[in-house]
Amino acid sequence: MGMGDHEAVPTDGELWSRVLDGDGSAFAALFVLHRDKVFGHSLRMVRTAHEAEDVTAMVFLEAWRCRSKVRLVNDSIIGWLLVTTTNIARNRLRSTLRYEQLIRRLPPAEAAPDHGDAVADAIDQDRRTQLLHRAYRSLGRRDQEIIVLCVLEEMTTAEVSELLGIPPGTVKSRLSRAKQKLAQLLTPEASVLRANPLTSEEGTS
Amino acid sequence: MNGIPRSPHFNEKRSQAIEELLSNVAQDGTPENRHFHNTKGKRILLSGVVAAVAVSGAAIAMQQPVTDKGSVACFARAELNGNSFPGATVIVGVPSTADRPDSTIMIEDALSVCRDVWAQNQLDPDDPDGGAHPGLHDPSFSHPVPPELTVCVLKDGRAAVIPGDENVCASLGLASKADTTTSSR
Repeated sequence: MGMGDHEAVPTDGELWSRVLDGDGSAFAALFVLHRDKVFGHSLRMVRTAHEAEDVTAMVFLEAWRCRSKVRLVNDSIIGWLLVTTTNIARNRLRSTLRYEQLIRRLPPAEAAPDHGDAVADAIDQDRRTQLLHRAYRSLGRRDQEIIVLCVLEEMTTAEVSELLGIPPGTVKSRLSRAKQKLAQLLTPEASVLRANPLTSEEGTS
Repeated sequence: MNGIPRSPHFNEKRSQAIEELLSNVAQDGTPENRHFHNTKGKRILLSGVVAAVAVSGAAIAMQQPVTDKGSVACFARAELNGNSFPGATVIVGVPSTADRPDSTIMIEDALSVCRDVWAQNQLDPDDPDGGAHPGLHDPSFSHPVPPELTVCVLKDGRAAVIPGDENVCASLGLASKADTTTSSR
């Protein structure tokens, strides 16, 4: 047993390695550890808290399905989870079909006000945050990915480079482009743009 | 952009249910773990429409379980020549390797897998090796499937799906698949 007075908190790497050995409690622990960050990012991408909870669950199910491809950077799994959150939220229909049998066993949504209501309540308090979220949802997948990693999660260029398997220079240029687009979307004229990136408005005839 | 206005919290009951779900997913043999062996959208990999190795034996008119679910032999016609057959060996997923040990998906429903191969026009009973020309591949899965396909068991424990009725296994010296010898349209 340990020599110290207190038990060391296991790192992501240690937990993940136990997960790969079939240790269910390690997987649950990893979920508890990163649940709120994944959930918080999901909330930026979907409209209700219930949907964001489903996305969070699916991100971890996806981690298991793709376990041979999961990348830990500096012993942290959070980058991989956030990138996967972006993908799952943008391709929710496909993921829901894949995991429908498992997700439908979870307790149903309660009557508590959802994220949409919360946003509506706070409309006068935090217009800018809302505008930001709407602008964020209007970005393409790559731009969303780079913003969440570099800006929100504050990962270094080197870490993002390792996580995404792209050169550091590309990380920087992608980040610069994404910030530029975000800034454009935040101008008053652009704020009337639709927020949902999944509904293409092209081809109106 | 850090917060959500009045950010909702993760519903505690659902969080606990997800913890339990994930815990089961990671544990071998649980229904949640098995779910990942049966997901749709699986990728079928033909290891080549070539004469594949099959271990034949003396005529066996009996039933056996499938013990090796890592691949399935889809026969283009009822023919077994020593250790080879006309048709394709099918693996679902990606062949497991040292650095990707879990990437092959176990095949629970051999009949469906081979029906899909037929429906894509990848088998040709008139071809010596049993393979249809790649240019004839039907991505819409609408090529006719033989009206009768039966699941037999090769001597190495793998399922073999062979055109013919329930007598076809015995006629090739193979056992029928235990409990469900399935002929289908």
